[in-house]
Amino acid sequence: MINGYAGTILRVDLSNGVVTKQALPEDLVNDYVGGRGFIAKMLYEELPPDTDPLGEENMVIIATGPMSAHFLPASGKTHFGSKSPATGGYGDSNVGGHFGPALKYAGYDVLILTGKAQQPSYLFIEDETVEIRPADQFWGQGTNTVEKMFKEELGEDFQIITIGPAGEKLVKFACIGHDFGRQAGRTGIAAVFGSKNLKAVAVKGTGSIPVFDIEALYKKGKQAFEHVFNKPGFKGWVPEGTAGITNWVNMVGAFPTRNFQTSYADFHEQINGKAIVEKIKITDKGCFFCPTPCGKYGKAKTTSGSAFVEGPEFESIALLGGNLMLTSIEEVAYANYVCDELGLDSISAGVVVSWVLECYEKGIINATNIGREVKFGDLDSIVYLLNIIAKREGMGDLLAEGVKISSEKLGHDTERFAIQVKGLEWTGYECRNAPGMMLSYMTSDIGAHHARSWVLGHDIAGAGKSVHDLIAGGGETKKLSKAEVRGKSKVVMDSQHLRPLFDVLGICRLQFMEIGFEVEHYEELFYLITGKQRSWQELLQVSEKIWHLTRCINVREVKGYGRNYDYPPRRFYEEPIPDGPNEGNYITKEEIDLMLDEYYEARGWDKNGIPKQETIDRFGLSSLVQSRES
Amino acid sequence: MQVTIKLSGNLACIHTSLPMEMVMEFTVPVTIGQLLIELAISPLIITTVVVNNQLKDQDFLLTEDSEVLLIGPMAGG
Amino acid sequence: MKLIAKDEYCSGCRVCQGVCALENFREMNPSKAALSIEGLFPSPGKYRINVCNQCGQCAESCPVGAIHLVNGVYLISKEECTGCMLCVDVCPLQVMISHNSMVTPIKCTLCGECAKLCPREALVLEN
Repeated sequence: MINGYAGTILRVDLSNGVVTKQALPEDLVNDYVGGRGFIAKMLYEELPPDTDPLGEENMVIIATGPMSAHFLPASGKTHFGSKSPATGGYGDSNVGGHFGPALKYAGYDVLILTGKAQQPSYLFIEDETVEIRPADQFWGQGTNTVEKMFKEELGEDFQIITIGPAGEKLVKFACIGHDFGRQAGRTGIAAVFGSKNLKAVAVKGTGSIPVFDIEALYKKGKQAFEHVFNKPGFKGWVPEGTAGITNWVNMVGAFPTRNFQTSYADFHEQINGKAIVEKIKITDKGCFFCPTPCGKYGKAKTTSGSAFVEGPEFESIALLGGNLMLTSIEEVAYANYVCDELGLDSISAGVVVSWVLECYEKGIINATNIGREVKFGDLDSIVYLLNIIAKREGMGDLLAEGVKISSEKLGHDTERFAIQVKGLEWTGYECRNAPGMMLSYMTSDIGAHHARSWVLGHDIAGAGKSVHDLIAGGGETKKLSKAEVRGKSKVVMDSQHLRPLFDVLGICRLQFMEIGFEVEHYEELFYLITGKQRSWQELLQVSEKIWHLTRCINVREVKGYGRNYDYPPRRFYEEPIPDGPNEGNYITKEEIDLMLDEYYEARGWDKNGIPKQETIDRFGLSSLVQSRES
Repeated sequence: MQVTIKLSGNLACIHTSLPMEMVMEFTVPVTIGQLLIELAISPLIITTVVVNNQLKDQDFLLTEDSEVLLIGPMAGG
Repeated sequence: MKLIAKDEYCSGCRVCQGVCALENFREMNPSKAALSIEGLFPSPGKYRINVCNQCGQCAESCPVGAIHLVNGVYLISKEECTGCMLCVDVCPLQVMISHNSMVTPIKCTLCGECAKLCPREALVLEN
């Protein structure tokens, strides 16, 4: 028994139905702590060489952390990992809701899925009972539809994760749905599920989790919740949730529009958090033990259709709203619903669709290629494209491969504006004048993603100097000066250790990052739960170690991996922003190289971005990893 | 006049040289905008201002004993 | 004293279930809570909170009279309970909770901890 953990790794081989329950090893717990740590370690150790991401040998690892499901704010997060079909390298994704706690209360810290089921199946887990059951009645159906069917058949107490039709069709940016509107969205792990003939996992757990000092945890947990309630940001943040940042992102010229051609949307007030509250919201919907429910569940009515939907979050507002020029919150929410129900990552789908629309505008794709006229700002076009992608119909079959492969196949210089890194599409921040954020996207381990490192505030603090002077002098212009590109490595690296640490511990980072809940609380809670004194600094070092490990996974899995996989799309270093607060600004190729050189040096990687042996040794990885430095 | 200023966690991460809580003296009432200039904080990274538990914008004129909370940008999701 | 549920504020977080099990059993196990949260999704897109309203039907139905009214709260006597689970079937709100690890069902004792800690003020203890 290990305090804080359920104590068991559940392995299910879908090919032969063999279920193995393995005691959670102490050294895994000590060295890798949980969640993303377990995933990185097990993927490195257990993935067979040259595994096809959509082949039987690929693994899906689902893991919670030591703080998951315990009595503290927002302890409901679950991490997923696999060899990504989108990038061919380390892929992971995170979801809130209630699935991870259910898995832990059922008795499992980790669920590992391998092999391939003979027929469409789902995995049924109720405490000790683990069964592979037929899923014919669910196959082909949307995520919300399927979840409702499961709840009706099995009961409200079951927590469900499910893929949609897109995952079944192996779309490389298919996502896993949970709790009627949450997703493990990125890196196409749902396609791995689909390749295994696995539609869903249904879990119910009625056990307890051992705690080192339950009396003290009970007391401290209550204090922690009350502390969050008393934070000044507490009441103000919840009504709009993550959408509350929309106005600011526009004001600082970092909001993508038209496939990242421009960085300011004059219609942003029609699609911001206030619009959600005023026009569509029904319920503030939250995750397990969360005091600050970020989910905005509502009903959207449009001429293309009506739907109940959780969202849109900021990312969907950026990639489906600004990026696709949908100018009403109802339309953005409806497009979000279509992605959710089909089981498409709304971020990647938004970027693939915006690429198609730009190609169409430029005459590189025409109505015959794509099946009909399509354009920015037209919800029907967008719904049509999402559907052909999910079904792999016509040109949708190519688009389902993601924007990197689509642009390589189509040619005509369309790679220049395929907005992706390593094969993973970019998320909701335009960075041509945000060098730290640009570097964050470039060096994020799974491909272009903001969750690993978010430093836009730092970038803007530096870019505003001339505006500051203007305001002091009474000026009206709100143009940003070019931000300094040097010296960004440290702030990016710190963020790359801090943010993913929450994915290791199995809790949500929002209370800390957005509401100001202090890290000292987490240290004490960690001790009361596990009985282990581990300082926040020590835990950050584990996170830093994992950073090098995921880099090593990519180096091993992706042929020719190195510096050339860390570049942003050419649009970002060839095209100045044409208008808005950042008019004229961009980051040059020389500056991109400068940032990479600085970053690799700080990381202890060689000039090609490969971890050096001395770095691997320094982080205690040498027993696991052999350096492949050039 | 005396004003107490608090910085949110994410703002303190950006302006590491400033204390999270400070008291400042002014000879005349100042606006939030003027306060930011004094602190050398770019108005661009202040997303929310709370004065005596109420939301205010950067034009707001501060009075004696105001308690000001400056909140920086938060990551979206 | 009554525990009032205000469904429209509920976010589905289940802190109430967490604190209930901790208060009554000192266990990290929300399935041992005496109240339940039901999601009504996709439509109408809300939560329903099911809490005991001390109607007393459980006490009426108990064949051995093991449920007693004590200061306005119906409480199960563990010593007298035979584990027949008739009260679980009879409870009109389905808040008499049977748990596989226990003979006696779990019932709200009106301790009020859920109301104290609900982040949404969706549970209120009223006189």
